[in-house]
This record gives sequence, structure tokens and C-alpha cells, in this order.
Amino acid sequence: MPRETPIERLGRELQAAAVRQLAAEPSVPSHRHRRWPGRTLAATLLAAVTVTGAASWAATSLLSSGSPVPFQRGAPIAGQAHGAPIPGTVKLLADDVADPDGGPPWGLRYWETDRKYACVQVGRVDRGKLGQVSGKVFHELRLGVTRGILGGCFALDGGGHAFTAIHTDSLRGAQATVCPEGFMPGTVLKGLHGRKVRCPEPERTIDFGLLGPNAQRLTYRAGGRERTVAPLGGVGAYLVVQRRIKPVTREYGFHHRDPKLNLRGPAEPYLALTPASQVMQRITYKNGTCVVRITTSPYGSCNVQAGFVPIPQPRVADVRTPVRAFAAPDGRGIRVRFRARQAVIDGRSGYDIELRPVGSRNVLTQTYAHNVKAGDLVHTTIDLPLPRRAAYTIVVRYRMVRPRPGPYATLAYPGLLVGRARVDMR
Amino acid sequence: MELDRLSDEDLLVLARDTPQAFDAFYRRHVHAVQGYFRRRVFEVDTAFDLTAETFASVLRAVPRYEPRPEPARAWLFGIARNTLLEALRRGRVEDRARRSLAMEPIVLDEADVATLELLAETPAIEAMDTLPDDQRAAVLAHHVDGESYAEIATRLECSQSVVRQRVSRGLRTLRTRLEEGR
Repeated sequence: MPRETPIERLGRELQAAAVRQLAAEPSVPSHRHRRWPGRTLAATLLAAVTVTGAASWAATSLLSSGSPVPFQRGAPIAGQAHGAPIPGTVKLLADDVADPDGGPPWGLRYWETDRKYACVQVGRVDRGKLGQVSGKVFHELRLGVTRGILGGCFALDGGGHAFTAIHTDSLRGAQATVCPEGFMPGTVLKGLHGRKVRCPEPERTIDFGLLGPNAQRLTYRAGGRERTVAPLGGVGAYLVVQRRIKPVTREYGFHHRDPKLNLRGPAEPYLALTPASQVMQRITYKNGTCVVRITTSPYGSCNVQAGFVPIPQPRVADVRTPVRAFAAPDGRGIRVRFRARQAVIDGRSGYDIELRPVGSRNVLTQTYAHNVKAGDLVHTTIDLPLPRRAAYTIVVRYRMVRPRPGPYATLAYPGLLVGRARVDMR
Repeated sequence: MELDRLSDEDLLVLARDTPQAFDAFYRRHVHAVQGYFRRRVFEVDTAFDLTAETFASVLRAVPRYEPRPEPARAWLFGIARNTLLEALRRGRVEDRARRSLAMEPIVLDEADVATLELLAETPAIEAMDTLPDDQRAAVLAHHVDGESYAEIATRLECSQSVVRQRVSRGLRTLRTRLEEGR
């Protein structure tokens, strides 16, 4: 009989524990359910269905003010993550995009941050403010809220402009569709106390984005008609709102003779650098017209004409500098010091510090993602997960987004070598 | 019911009253979790200890589990991360969840450690170092970290078909090199 591996033994132990747990607690006590009604997805979905179902969209109705849409990861902070808005760049570029069923118009706000991002928010406009509407309650979208809403922050190119194209569904109150990943809208989920809850059907299809300064005209198709308009605000902003349309799908994976076995998924990307959805038809740029076609490329279909300015890249010689490292006095970490020759002034670059025990392939990497001026001394302590008496190699790298990054603009790997050091902890 | 065809969320909901569903969830993710710890701690037995504590914590949380907007896998790795952080803070791996479930401690002997090393560092992993960077990253992300094609495509900023192609080419190259090395 083959020897049982530790993984199999652990599986057997867990299986036995699961049986014991079930025997000890045959059903979830009802008081536990009562503790979390506001936090469960089911309750959230139910609330969303109820409020949108009861919504009245008469244009004359006055909305009462509710709590503002929360910051999911705290208010923006200058010099960190996407950074804080720069005063003077904040503009409500659109505030009069009509909703197909009437009610408050839709709008788009744009601003730039101190970490070289351009951010966008889309919502409904009431008394000059951007927000989301639930029933007759207006929830303001404060400046800086970009997560969990229609919007986001996008890295600027080498010329200081952002490019992005988003095609998505939403609720009519401008809430991004609330549906767990893997569940199709309309799926019935089992909610609290066996109650069935329907994941809300999206009601609007929204296209918005930033086409850059070279865009002169754009043609989109909505409600069965094509319209040509000028982009907004010198940054090429656009916003198209319509009743939800059927997404274009395509076949993924193997093609089977039995069509029931074929896997189909969306053909239009949620996010691309330039438009790629069925809604956008043509974009006229200074250097040519782009006919938009559906593509899953993260660059979209107008990458050639959009005029993305490559982001300048330093050379190895620009970043090389001596790196010094010492064992921390408590022996549980390693202190690393070097003088940064290349500044980190935005979210498009950062220093990576890599620790590797000599003779091992295991590696611990920490990104030093704060702003650093050129010539500043970087000194940081890296805690060792489970310290051991060994020699460590420390490698510092300068990582930056690629010259022509995709829409997410993540830092390219592995980056440029800044320097190496060695610490003996024995 | 074919448990292996159910989604992670369905398995966890079913696991509230079907222990076999938890076993299916464990088998689906144990190697990814072990790999996650293996790349963050230096000893393979410590990584295994952390894996055991993570799945015990997951099992304890199963009666309260409700599907959330984020995938169940993200929830699992959230627990794994917390387990690791707790271990780092205290300087040792906790066994609170395993004790509360009255689980027998699993004592690893030399052969067990060797088995875990073998699972973590097969010749394929060694040969992986010889792959081009893009293929190596894609194969590691999909087969070692257990990320989906969609997740990798988002992170690497390319389409899913490109990721599939890199994984497929990487595996083909590995197979050839391993066969040559026999």
C-alpha cells in the first residue's frame, strides 16, 4: 500500500473534524444570522432590489440626501497609492446626459492626482452634485471615491494624458452592478432563513472613458441610433448611457460538436486603453479615424491613432548606487540603506527590495512605494518572516511601468538593478 | 452529485452540512495554499503547519460562510494571509483552530518532509528556471499559484489567449527538457 502523503493525511484529519463539527453543531444558530443582516451579500442584494424596485423616477421629484458613498479604503492621501486630487484639475465635465427613463441626469467628474493619475467618477447629478440614487435618496459621490463605483484612476502617459475606455452595466441609480463573481445577473441566491434573493438585473449599459487630447469626434450607437459628438474637456472624456443592451459573446476554449458544451463569455472588455465595445463606432483623432471593433486586447482598437506618448524610462546607469544592509539589533529583520538616484514621484515607479537566503530559491520581496526625491536616503527595515541564522543576499531594483503599459499600468518585472548587498546573520 | 464540478462558493455553502464538499474544496486548493506559504517561509514543514492551520480556520468558518462579491478563493487566501501574519507577529505558527477542532497533530518525519519538498520542488520547478521570463511567469502563476487565466491576464495586462498560449508553450518546453534529462 503506498504511503499516505502529509497532504492526504491532513485532508483525512480535516474530513474527520468536519464530521465532528457537524455533529456538534447540526445547524447554524439563528442568532448568528441576526448579528449580520447588514453585512451579508444576500441582505445587500435584497436591499438593492427593494429600493430600485420601489424607485420613482419622476423628474420633478426632490431627492432627499442620504449618507455619502463610502471610501472603501479610506480617503485619498497625497503621495500614496493613487494620490490626492490636485486642486484646479477637478472638473464636472458632463452633467446633463439624459437617462432613458428620465430622472436626474448623468454626469462625469474628472481630476488628476499628485501621483500622476487621472480619475473619473460617473453618477447621477442632483443640485450640482454627483452621486448615486436609491429610491428617492441621493448619496453623494465625494471627490476621491473611486472603488466600487462607476469610475477609477488611470496612469498618465508620457505626455500627461490618460487613456481609458470602460464598457459596463449598472443599476439605474448609477450603482455598479452588485453580483458576486461567477454569478450571472438575475441568478437566484439563497439568502437568509432560506429566503431566495435575486441578484439584481443590470438596467443600464454605460460607456465612458478618456480618449486623450487628440480625439476630435466620436460616433456611438445607442437606442438604435448613431450619434456623433465632440469629446469633453480637452481630455477626450465621453459618457454614453442607455438601457441595458445584450452583451456580445464569443466562444472560449475548445469547440465541441454539441453546442451545449461550448463555453461562451463576454467578447467586449470591461476596461481597455481605447474603446473596444459594440457601442462605440468611430473615433476621429488628429492623425486619422479609427473604426472601433470588438477586441479582447487590453489596448482596445484605436491604440495606433490614440497618440499615447511613451512613458520615459531610466537606464540602468541612472539607478545604480551602492546598497548597504545590516542585521537589525533584535535579529528579526534586515536594515537596508541606499541613496535613491532616481526619484519616485508617482505611482508609475517604485523600489523593490528582495531578500534571499544564500543558496535558496525562496525570496521575500517588499516594495518601497512611497515618494522619494532623487538623492534622498532610503532606509527601511524588512522583517524576516521566520528568521534563521543564514547569510542573505539583498537585491534592490527600480521598477517602473512599461513605456506603453496596458490599462492597469502595473509595474514591470523585474526592473533595473540598483545594487546588491549581503548580510550574514550567523 | 459531482462535487468537483461545483464552484468554490457552492462547495463552501454545501460544506455546512456535507463534509465531503469541504474535502473537495480542500483538495482543489491545498497545493496552491501550500505553494503560497512555501514561497513566503523558508522551511517546508513550517509551510505545511501554516497550511493545516489555514484549512482548520476555514473549516471553523464554514458554518458562517455566505457567498460574497469577491470569489471564495480570495476569502481563502485572506485567511491564509492572516494566518501568516499572526505567525510572523508571534514568531510561531498558532494551532488554535486545529485544537478547537480536536485535530490530531500531524508529526512529520524525514520522509514526509522529503515528500513535501518533492511536491514543492519537483524537477519541473528546477527546469522552470530555464524558461523564458514570460512563459515562466505564466506557468508559475497558473500551475503553482493556482491563479485563473483571467486573473493572470489582468495582472500581466494581456489577453487570456496570450496567457493560455504562454502556459501551453511553457509546459511543452518543460516536458521536452524533462524528457531530455531522463
